[in-house]
Amino acid sequence: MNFLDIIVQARTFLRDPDGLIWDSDMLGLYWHEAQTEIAQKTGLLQRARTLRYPSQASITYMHEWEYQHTMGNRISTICPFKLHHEHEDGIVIMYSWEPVYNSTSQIAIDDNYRITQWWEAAYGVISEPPRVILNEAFESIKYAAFDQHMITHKDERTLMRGDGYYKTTKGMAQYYYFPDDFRREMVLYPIPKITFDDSRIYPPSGLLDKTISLYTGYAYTHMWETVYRDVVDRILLVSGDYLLLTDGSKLYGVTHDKETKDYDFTHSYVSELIRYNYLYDWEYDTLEGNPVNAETDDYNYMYYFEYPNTEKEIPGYITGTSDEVITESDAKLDVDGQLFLIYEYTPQPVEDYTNELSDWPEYMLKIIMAGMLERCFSADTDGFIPSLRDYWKMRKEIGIRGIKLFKTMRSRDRDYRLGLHDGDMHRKHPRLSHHYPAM
Amino acid sequence: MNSIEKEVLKLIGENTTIPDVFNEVGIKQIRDSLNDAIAELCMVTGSYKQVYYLSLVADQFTYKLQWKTDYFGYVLHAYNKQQRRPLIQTDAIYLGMMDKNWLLSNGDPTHYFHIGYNYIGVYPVPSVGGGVIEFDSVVIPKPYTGDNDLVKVRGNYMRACVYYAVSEYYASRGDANRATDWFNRYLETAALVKLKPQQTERYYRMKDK
Repeated sequence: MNFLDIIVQARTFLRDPDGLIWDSDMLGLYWHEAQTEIAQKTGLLQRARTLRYPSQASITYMHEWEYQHTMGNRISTICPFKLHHEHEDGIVIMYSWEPVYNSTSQIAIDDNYRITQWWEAAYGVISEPPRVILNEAFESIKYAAFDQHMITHKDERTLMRGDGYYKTTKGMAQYYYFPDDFRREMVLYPIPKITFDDSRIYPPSGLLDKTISLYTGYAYTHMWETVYRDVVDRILLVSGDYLLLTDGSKLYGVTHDKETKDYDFTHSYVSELIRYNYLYDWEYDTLEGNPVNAETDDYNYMYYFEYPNTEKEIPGYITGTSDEVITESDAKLDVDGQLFLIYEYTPQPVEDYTNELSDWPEYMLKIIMAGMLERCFSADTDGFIPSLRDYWKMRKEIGIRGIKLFKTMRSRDRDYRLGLHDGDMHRKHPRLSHHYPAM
Repeated sequence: MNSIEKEVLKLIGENTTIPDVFNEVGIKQIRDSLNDAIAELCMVTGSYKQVYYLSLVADQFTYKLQWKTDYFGYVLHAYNKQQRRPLIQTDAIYLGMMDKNWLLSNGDPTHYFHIGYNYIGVYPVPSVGGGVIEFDSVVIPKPYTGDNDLVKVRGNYMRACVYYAVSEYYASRGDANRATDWFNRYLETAALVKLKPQQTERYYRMKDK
């Protein structure tokens, strides 16, 4: 059943066949509100998935204004620097020595490489642990295992206190933590060894198909990356060249000074003792103290996508599905060397009304419809009818109780009960009133 | 038009021989309501069961049960016919406590657990394929679509289904009071009054300022 079927059925109850009061988008909005409410109240939705480690991002960006120009479904800031804010002068600090470069007493030491995609961690010693992008619908973990070994949650503060090198400690993963609640990402501790079998064809991750495949071509910024040219065999050496990728998109390269060694393959600019590297012309202006004018200045693209901006699939910071591995069979999960999760999820808004409503079993859709109709009759429109609002509200609440009962009955073959502590701990004994006996 | 649909039409005052509104096309509304009633009743009472024979695959620990005529609800009992023993129900959290690295386990499955609403997991991970587990399951029938299709609902719930459909008919006509009355009858007939949210009894009294 798709959402168009739901709309047809709902319009019968709304007595609004032409959508004059409640248009389809409004119904879609109320549907999502209702299903979110019911999912949160019942906790029914759960799934098992394996995820790539480390994750692939469709695109990474450095400055926030770049977000509006990004494409693909999994967008992320340049990963290692996420915790570093963009300074007021528009410069993003990449290495810890940069803020104190001009100071005569600078003692900021630096450590290891910065990377732009997590999978690059396989080819260099990095300063920040690679992260795993979780599904947008991710809610809470019920079970997690890496390479078939169970891992448990430990908060970052505890890890930091126990191990000063917790960001770079390597070993068999034992714990995971969430850097924050905004980005749906998790970090493994210690960092597992990352290896890529260069002869292996890695399965595509669903929605990534529309964007650049990270294993068939990329632009590089550091000289050391050329060492891996045999692996990728698609490196830009001539200014203005582009590579035609497998999906038909083009990859443009700008190599300002290809003879320069030990510097990034970008534009370079020297001011007194400082050497800057920059990708965009407007960045040059920033260096000179001019205001940024990102709208009018020419850009030098490193990546060029042929897809128009309108094809950005789901708005958001980190969006779309995660790196869930698509395997041959829907049920056969490849957990070897991967991250395996059983997690609760929240249903997603209906993007395409012709798609099957797969977040819920079909026999529960009527309960969500009741929640949607309750909202329709509650809205301050010409269709505001309190009696029908109350009727559908009652239907929704009966449905929620029905789902809870269903969940309880589903566990009745179990011979144990999960709880946080023994029930006996807070047992109260009856006692007589303080005022007894009456004096 | 089957007998249950005729009962609904009688209660809403429609001609059952030559229906005015609920003809071959219009009857879909009633049919949808009856299907929803059947699904809700089967979901909360677990009254309709089927056995699923799951063929185990080597090294595969999660299975999506493929039902053709029904939706999978939940497993009541699981039985390994080759081993002549029942499987014990567990869940992912308990399994993690019982055997941290259960994904590395291998052998004949002794436990099963639900994942979401349509997956089943088994533990230990089967070392060889070919075994069969019998899952005695509660299922929810898929909607019937034709006059001659089998309506999978217990006899004593049929009347409840009729009241449910009548309630939705009045709701679709904007008559919330009659819709509520008929829905209450549905709950009483199906013995599901416990699901109805009751308003707490209130006692009002005057308070001095």
